[in-house]
Amino acid sequence: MTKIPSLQEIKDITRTERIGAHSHIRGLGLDDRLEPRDVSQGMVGQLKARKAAGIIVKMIKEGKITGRAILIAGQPGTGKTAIAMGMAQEFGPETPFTMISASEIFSLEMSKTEALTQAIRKSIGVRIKEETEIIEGEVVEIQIERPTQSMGAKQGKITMKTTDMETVYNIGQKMIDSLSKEKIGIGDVIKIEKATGKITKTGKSYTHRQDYDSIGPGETYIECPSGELQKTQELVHTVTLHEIDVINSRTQGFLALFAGDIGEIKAEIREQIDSKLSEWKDQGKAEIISGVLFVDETHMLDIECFSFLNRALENEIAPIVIMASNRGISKIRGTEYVSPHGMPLDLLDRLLIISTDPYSSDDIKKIISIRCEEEDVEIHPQALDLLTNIAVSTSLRYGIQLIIAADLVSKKRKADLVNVDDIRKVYELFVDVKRSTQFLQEFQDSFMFHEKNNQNNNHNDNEKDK
Amino acid sequence: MTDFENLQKKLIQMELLAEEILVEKHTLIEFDKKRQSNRESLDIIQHQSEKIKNKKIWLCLGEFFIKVPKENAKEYIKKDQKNFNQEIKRLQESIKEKSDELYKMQGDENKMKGFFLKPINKKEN
Repeated sequence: MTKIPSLQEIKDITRTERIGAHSHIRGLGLDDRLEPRDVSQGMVGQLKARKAAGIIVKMIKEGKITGRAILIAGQPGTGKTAIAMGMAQEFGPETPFTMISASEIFSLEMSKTEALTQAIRKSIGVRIKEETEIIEGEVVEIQIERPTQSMGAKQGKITMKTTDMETVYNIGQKMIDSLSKEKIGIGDVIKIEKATGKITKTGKSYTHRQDYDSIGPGETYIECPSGELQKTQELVHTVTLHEIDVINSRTQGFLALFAGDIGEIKAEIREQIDSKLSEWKDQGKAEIISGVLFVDETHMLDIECFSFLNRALENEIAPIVIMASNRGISKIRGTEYVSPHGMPLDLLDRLLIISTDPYSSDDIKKIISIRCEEEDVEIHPQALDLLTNIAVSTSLRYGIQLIIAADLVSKKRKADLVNVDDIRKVYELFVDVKRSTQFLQEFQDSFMFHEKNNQNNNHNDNEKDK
Repeated sequence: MTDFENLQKKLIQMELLAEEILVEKHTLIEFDKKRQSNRESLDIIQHQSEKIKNKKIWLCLGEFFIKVPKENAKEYIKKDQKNFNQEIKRLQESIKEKSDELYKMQGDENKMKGFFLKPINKKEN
């Protein structure tokens, strides 16, 4: 039947970040009225887009939109992924947030729809509660009576206490065996599960620290517990649907979560899990937490994926899908049709679109100085201006990548600050896209397999004329 | 009401709530003590008094002793236990709700999320 894992660490694994280039982003940088501050939490400029993102985050937190999709569209280097990172930080640890790049869907191990389904189910969380009656206290005395005939059952008494009370329990054969197996002695603080009779030793009480001159490894000292001896322990677990799927997909399933070779999960298992969950939801035993799935470079998905997404968004429990695309009007992958952002019109219709604009030179300067701080590089103000000019005329990413290179050059001359010469040197060493294209066009004949499209067309026309 | 009076009112409410929670926690401890001593007595009556031939035993109820037949004593203690169990459950629920209210007043809405779900039994796993 369906098993629910109780490993809290799994949640942390699903939050690994994809790009180090955005590590300086701590949030969207909005104030209490959702107005974006100019430079805040690592975000600079792009005020309209950040404000829109902030409103969406608020709606999601209040649970007002589910199964909706959002598209962040803009030219390359305009902060799309940065806004998504900012939104992720704003959601906090409670909301499941999965980040994938569209090309990850295409793998030999599993089909596209399986990869998409897994990504979607990673973004839906389930909260359940386990309740157990336990007896927790410090052992004061253990008395065991062995019967006169060796075949008889052992009987015993164990006295346990907390700082507030003390009592005696009668124990039978099984409990006595467990106690001796766990090597429980006087002064040990133990936890007994009433339902299963399982005994856990949490540690040794401080008051018995003086009893022995030396202690073995693994012996921890804790305080004597306070309060009632017999209490109800409640544990709340939050897991994602994907984790539940994997654990039920095969025996020893939870190992697959760490091993990573999950493969395809049968649809029947998913259906079983879904129906059990809705049963529990109706009975008030489980809460479903809708999360966020971020798909970067959405234009890399093909038409089959888009149709699948259309359908998946209409499911009862669907996460919020945030997409990012930097294509203009381009071909939809898998077809010959041309469409805005490389996505079919019926999907575009369901989206809320946030557009990002190219940064102003002031914004670029601030971003570069934030990155310098993040990468621990000290830069001379003149050099910063030069770098800003370079970034404005070439691209923001190129400018950012020069930072670390210039830092290495400056360290070579044993200087503290990066100065103008360092930047100039790195600029000459590493070429940006524009210069590279120029270079290619000039020296094209020396390169192998170079295709000169204009020349080819001329040839074809000449052929036709002949 | 001025802002200051509002703040004062809120603080008083929070302190009262905290006091109630502390009192309930203390009551819980006292009840558990009584519950355990009831259990010990029941054990003794059931298992160890076969040796004692009397049909009547001395039972201590709070401040006075009375002599009752063993069976009555057993019934009485069992009923008492049931009451205690119910009261303890009620107190636990009340402490949960009051703690949730207190956290909400402090602005920490999500601290007790999930604690109001119904529990899942191991069997259903």
